[in-house]
Amino acid sequence: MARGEELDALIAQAQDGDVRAFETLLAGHLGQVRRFARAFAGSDTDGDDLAQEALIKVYKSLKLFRYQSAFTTWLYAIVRNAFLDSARSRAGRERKAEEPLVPEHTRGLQDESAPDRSLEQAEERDRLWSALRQVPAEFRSALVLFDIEGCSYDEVAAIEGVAVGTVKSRLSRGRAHLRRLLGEPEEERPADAPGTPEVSASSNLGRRGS
Amino acid sequence: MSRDLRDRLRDLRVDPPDGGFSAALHRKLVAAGEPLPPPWWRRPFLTGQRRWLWPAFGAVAGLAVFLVLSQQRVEPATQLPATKIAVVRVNLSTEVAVQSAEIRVTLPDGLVFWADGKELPQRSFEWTQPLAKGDNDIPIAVRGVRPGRYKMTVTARIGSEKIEDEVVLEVTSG
Repeated sequence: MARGEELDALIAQAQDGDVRAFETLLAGHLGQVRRFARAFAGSDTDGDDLAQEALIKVYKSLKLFRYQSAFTTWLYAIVRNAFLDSARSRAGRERKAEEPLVPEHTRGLQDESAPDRSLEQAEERDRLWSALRQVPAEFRSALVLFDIEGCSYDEVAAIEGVAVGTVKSRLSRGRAHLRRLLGEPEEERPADAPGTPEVSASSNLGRRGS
Repeated sequence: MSRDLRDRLRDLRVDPPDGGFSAALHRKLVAAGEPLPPPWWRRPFLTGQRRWLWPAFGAVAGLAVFLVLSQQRVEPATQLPATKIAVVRVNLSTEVAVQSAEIRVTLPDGLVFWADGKELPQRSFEWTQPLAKGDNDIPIAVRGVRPGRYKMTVTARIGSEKIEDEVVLEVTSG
């Protein structure tokens, strides 16, 4: 992955319309962006379309990048906003189209089938993705970035434009929501687990004197 | 007994096979054309080439309009002669740096955006930009078309939060 001067040069070339330079910038991020998109789409194909739409939005917005943040943070912030927009605009339709989760039924099928480990893993992954898509979008985004992609609290906070406490709260609530969808018992909260109350983004915005 | 949820989520971190994704993306990027130029108010203001432009207006009315977020108030109208250009300075003040804020400015009929000595046909501009901690000034040049009281709408969206405010401008015939 490009760093330092090489990264700056690639950004400058991409800002001038060099598609290859932009693709080099994306190298190493495509898998992550596609997984992120999958959480906001009904299928892998829809996810790929969504990922491409978001990356084109990043490309078209490149001249707005002013080196005030890490390029990857900026990239994921735009991608995330594109996914949230898509989730909002398609929320009603997707909710109807989404197949209901029936964990017991799925488990029953697994029990009766031959013990094929890879098939079992694939089914488990599908079940998780399906449940994840039903978690509220803000919580879902934090879960994907932190729990799946391994971003730090600070990185998620920068991408989402909120305080670290808000990220922790979203993660905690997102996991609880996911467990309910999967029909699993609530987990006792460890002492160091996220639990900071949700702070709305507007509270981060300064208010000028009265 | 099920494995810890976080372990299972981590297992979802599997790179999908390319399956033509890169090639399809390349085609779409080429078809999309070059990156868009930043909106005129995002270009260097009163610097470089444009240094000559703004003083040339001569009668530019500089207005300082502060977007006081989430605060209810009655905004007194700022008077603007129909023959003048007003640079409305919208100030977005944040307590923390924001990587990506989506900002939208919409004008009603009766006001037009103004740039490079002429009015722009767009009724609305939308762009994404980072916000530095503290004050972020966004100068927006507008001109009144006919006398009346108008509301310019400014919307900022940061993550899931959306803040909207209105700037009242009263265009006079003077």
